[in-house]
Amino acid sequence: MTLSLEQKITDILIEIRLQLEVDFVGLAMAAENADGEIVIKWKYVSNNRNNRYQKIVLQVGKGIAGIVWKTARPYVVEDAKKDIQETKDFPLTITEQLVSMAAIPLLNGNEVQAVLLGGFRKKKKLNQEFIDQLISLCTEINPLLLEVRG
Amino acid sequence: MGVAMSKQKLIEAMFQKMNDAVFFLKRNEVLYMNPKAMELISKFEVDLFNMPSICHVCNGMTNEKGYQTCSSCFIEGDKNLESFQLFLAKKNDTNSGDIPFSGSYFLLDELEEVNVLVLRNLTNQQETEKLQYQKSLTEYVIHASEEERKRLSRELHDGLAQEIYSALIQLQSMRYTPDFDKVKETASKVETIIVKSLNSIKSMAIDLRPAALDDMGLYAALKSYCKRYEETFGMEVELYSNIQSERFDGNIETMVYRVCTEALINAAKYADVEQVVVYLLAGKKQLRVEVMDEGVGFDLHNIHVKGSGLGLRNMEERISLLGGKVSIETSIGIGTKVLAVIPLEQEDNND
Repeated sequence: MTLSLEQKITDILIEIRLQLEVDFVGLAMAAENADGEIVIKWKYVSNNRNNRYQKIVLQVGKGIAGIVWKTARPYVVEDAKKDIQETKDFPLTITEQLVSMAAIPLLNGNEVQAVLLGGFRKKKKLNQEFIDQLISLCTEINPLLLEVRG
Repeated sequence: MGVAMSKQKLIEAMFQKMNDAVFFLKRNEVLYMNPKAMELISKFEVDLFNMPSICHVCNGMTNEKGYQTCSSCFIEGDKNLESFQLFLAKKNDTNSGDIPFSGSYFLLDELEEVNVLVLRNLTNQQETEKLQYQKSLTEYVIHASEEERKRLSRELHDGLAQEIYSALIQLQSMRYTPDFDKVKETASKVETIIVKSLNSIKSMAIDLRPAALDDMGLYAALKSYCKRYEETFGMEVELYSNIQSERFDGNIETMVYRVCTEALINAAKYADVEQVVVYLLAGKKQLRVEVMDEGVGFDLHNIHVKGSGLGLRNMEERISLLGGKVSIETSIGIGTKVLAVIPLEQEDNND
């Protein structure tokens, strides 16, 4: 117990960010709101511009994390300016000024445990290779997530 | 010689028939004027004997200082102004307001100090401009409502319909499940789906028009909007108000609510800050709404349009329908303040 779980996860996010040379990395997890519904919040981030991400609450199916949560498939936005019409459904693109991004589900069996997003603040081409790299860099997080959930 | 004669005739004919009012002025008197100028004098408040000091009749001109202003007037400055816009009042008519004219003023004869003033009624042109403005606004409204329909249709089709469909499938599978424990398990899944669908329906209904606005009034509706806004955009809102449960005219409540949400969304999208402050203050005679942020701000005179660019106009239009005014104070790096003032008592003598 030298490092707390949160530190370990944050370290991995930093590692991912440096390796992929992305501008922003975030990890979203499920939480329960006051009404007992499942909502999704960005819990860990690296290289954030401000703390607005902490207040964002996404419904399953809404926002990038919400969509990935629902579909359990990667989701790619190549150019937020062109591809996103309803920016209020994608608040992280506003708060972190992201332009190109990809998000992948972190699975435990069939169940989504978390959503990891890597994004650029400038327009970048995102190919399958990028998504594969993202997935392979996430393998270390999975066991930690099980611990988070306790 | 014959050619010169006809040229003079032509010029004379033009002077008589042209649609612009032409005055030849020598110091304080009019030397000549054409029929159009006489017509103008008969219809507008123009003092013939004080013609050159046009300030007596002119109700302001248009220049870089303002739409209808007296500052840096052409009379004071450069005597040879090619074209400017000024306003004249109609005789015996205080209702229709000042009529815009385009004018030009130039020195004809330096020795004799003769100047020429040409005035042209711009009403038609301005009407056209107004129509064009109205048209673009209508287009914006149509576009916005169409977008809203698209979004709703998408949400109904991709969200709600899918959820209910999957609940249906689960229910159908229950019919053929002999195992009671399995049936119970599926039933609880169906329950979850239906709770979620209900929530989506509720949030869609609120998005369309918050019931709180009709039931509980402006303050309650805004308060609950702010809460949703915080979760949507990750912004902190401080809402201050001296009204609690007071109710206003339904139109006022709706418009103020819409303008406020529009201003808040603008702040969330463009201000790039974490906090926004809203004041909603009711006085005896007026309702004041302020939406302020200390964000990046923008240059009002050189708006770099990021969105449709018509949101601000839409706000102005909504508030002006209520006889109110919207003003925007902003500068780069300082922040933005949107202020709307709406009169609460209908007065007949408002200008």
